[in-house]
Amino acid sequence: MNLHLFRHLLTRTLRGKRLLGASALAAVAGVAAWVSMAGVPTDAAISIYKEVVATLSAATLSIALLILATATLRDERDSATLPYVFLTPVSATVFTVSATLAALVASVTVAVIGWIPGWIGAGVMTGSWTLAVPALVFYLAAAVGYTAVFVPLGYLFDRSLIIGLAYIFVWEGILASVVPGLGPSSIWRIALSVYADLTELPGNALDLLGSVEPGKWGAAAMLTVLTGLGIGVLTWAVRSRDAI
Amino acid sequence: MSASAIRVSKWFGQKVALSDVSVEFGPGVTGLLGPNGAGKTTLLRVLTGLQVPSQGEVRVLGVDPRRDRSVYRRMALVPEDEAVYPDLSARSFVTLKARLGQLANPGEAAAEALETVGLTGAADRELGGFSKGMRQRAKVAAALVTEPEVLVLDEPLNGADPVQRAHLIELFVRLGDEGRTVIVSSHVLVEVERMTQRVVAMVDGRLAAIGRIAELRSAMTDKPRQVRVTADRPRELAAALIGIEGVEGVRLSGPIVDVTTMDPSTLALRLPAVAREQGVRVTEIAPADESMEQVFRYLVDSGA
Repeated sequence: MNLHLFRHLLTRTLRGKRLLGASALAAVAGVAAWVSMAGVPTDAAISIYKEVVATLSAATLSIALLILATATLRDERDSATLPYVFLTPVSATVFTVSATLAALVASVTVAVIGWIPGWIGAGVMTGSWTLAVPALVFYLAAAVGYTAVFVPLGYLFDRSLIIGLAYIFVWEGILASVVPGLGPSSIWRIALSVYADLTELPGNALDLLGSVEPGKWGAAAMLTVLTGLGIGVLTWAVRSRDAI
Repeated sequence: MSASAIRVSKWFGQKVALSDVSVEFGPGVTGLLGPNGAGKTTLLRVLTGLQVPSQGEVRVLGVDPRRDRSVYRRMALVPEDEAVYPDLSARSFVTLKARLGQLANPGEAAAEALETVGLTGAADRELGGFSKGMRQRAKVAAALVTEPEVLVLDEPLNGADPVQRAHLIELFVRLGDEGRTVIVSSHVLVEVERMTQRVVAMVDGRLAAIGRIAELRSAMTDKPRQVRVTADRPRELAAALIGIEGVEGVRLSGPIVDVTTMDPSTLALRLPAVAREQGVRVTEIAPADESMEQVFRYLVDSGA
């Protein structure tokens, strides 16, 4: 990895308004859970927290991570500054790994910021400050998976945001729900399978997994493969596609 | 040769941007001339590895930049786009390039590069507040900071004021004299002429000519020239101009008289006297056919 490239791309990705907007979006599920738990008995509040976080994050956290990961290289391309970072004497693999890690750190930052309100809400409403910890792992798994896919997407396609939204809403939201065989192609479900393995999810949230089995190690393996594929595709693109 | 394109073609969908271009660039300054849309920027992007040729191959310092990216330690580009990082200071921007170029003392190298382009006084101001000319100089500093052997400059004088232009031209000439390969694209012939006599001319994605500017000019001498004269009494002026030696025709269009002549020098010498004799007030005289596009189209058509 090239530290200077990593630091530059991370700083650009997390610039002011984007950091605020993505963090706010990522926090929606936690805040909604907090509000929903008000005036509810503790057992019910625990269930509500898990269900709201598991379901609502499918849209909010996913979009926040989409915005960040696609922006990492797309921003440089759109603002015509890509030549300054592209013409760098590092190998295509180092370039790709640096960009992917920058996007990953940005995504993890926003995922953690987005998780905090839900953690505070869960702690205040249920008295358990560990209730939200499995959700943090779920958020981090989602950050890894979406980064692996959306960084190359942002580099390869001008309309990466639209393609990403189509993936989140049409592929993950509809097709992967209707066609059981498509479940493992859903990053959100892979991340949710970690959550389901770490804590007992209410039935409604568990149903969302579809054909995907709960399991943190299986998810870890899939996310590792996905990250490898993402870096491979991006390296190929850096070597063989027009940079601008 | 330091940089070469070998039978390079580049197309985007149906649009052909470069067509079978073979060209070599060696030490010294070489002007890459051509009208807008001629393919200059595409050629420079392909040479630097920003774009991949659809056909053919590129070599810079003996390697294909796409396959051996270590060459970016020895080559640099000043892109045509005005874009810089508006929230970075000039010093941060140039230091960033020095760091990405893996220099041992990036801060020192950045200060030196900024001094070279005359931006030391403004080094700590944000680039977003810079004039276009200052941004151009900051981009040049960012390219120079790694002391590249091959320097590719895409329209580097755009937006620079006359003093800045003179300064940059002097700098490019000096870099060329030091033995670096400096490739400067421009659509303004006189600008390039001040930097070098060696030019590569392009039109419509093809090479129109390679050689010295004097050779290009001599290739154009048998072509009638168009001069546009704006006057308050164009009809009277047109009638009088017909009698001047070398004038082959005149055309009226409102206050404008378009004069076709084989001898523009004589026309220039005689025009004031003729206007005075006729009591005509001339408000503007300008060459009507000296755009790069027309010059190079002519060269292509005549097979120069």
